[in-house]
Amino acid sequence: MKIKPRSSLIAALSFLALSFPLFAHHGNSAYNNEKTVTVKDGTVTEFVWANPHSLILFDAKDANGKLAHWVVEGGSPSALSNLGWTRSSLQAGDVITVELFQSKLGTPVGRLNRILLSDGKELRDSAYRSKPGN
Amino acid sequence: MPNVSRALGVSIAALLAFSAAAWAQTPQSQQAQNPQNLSERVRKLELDKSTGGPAPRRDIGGAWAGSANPGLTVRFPVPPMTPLGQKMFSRNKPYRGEDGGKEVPVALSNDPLNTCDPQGFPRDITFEVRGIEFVQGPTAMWQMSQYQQLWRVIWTDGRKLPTNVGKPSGPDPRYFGFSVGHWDGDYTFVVDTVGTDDRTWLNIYGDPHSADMHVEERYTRVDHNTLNVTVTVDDPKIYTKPFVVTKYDMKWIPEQEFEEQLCVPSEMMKYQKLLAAPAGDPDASK
Repeated sequence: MKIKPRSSLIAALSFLALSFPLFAHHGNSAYNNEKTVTVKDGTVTEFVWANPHSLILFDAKDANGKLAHWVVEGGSPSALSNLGWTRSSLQAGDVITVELFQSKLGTPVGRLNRILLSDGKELRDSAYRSKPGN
Repeated sequence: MPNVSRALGVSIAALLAFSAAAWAQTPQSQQAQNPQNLSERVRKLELDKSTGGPAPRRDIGGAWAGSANPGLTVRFPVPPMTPLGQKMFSRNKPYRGEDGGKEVPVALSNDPLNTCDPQGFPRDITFEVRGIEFVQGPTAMWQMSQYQQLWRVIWTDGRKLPTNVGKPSGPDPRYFGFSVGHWDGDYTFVVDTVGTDDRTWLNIYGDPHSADMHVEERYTRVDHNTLNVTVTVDDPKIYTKPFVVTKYDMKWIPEQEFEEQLCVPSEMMKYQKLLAAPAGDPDASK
């Protein structure tokens, strides 16, 4: 297969240009936007499909085995529905892996980047960034 | 330079492979699309350069799609503020600043929208302008917005704007002020507004205004599918000269349909409590 580097680059840059303003909608100064944190084996406790941003609540054990109650925000229903989400995309009890931008305060809250469901399906946030720190 | 191309291609392929390692990839083309979603349709409309033919005479009626976020990523240049303007601006704590400048975490912001307070005018046409519909009646033009599902009356029956708003003899200022409109030629509808409540902001950046502000909106129908919007603020109490607070093009929506998009107070309270406070308020996170 022949890869056309120029068109790949243009596609990647256009995507970044499109996604960054969306990310900034509700302010990102509370989060460490330089790197993502991945939380594995989280159990969904609630999915709030709402404006201004959807909320995903899940429980996961930290490195010391202590249970942490996480809350991450994703895009609005309007923005997420473009990417295949529905209000029933996540159900209480679902086991998920979550990639997020955590709060600078170190609290278990953050901005969603993407979710990996147990069936292997991926759900991206409307402000998904393939390369943090941009 | 085939070698360079090949090397670049391989490195991009490696990068993609690396980033995909832990995650299944769902191609965008296989993901469900929501045909009712206006923001997605706006993106398509912005790419569509078809004019739809000439503009009809003295007619801006119908549903128009705004840019998904006009005014959000770019703050139009604001002239120097008066001492009162600077004082009011210093009290406003936006969660979005110009070039990341004056901004605070959502939890520490006093943006009126944090409690779903009315955006008021002119913020309703500088922020979250997802869709606007004009309905032309015999004595007034109605402007309806998708966001918050609200409407304004713009009188076209020749009445004068009140000159005594806020005075003991006059009416109180209002979130959407008092508006009259007229045609300037056959393709530009001009709206003049006074008497706006000074609790509202001009935009997401916390730029203030007084109740004595005068705002001029110009809606020029360039062709059937394109409506040019220019909004000028004249507020000598706050700004040292008039300025354009926003300018953008709206596109005719073929289906003429909006989606429901509301700021719901109970949902906002939940967002503030569960997310914004622990994310950005050092006191709340202790």
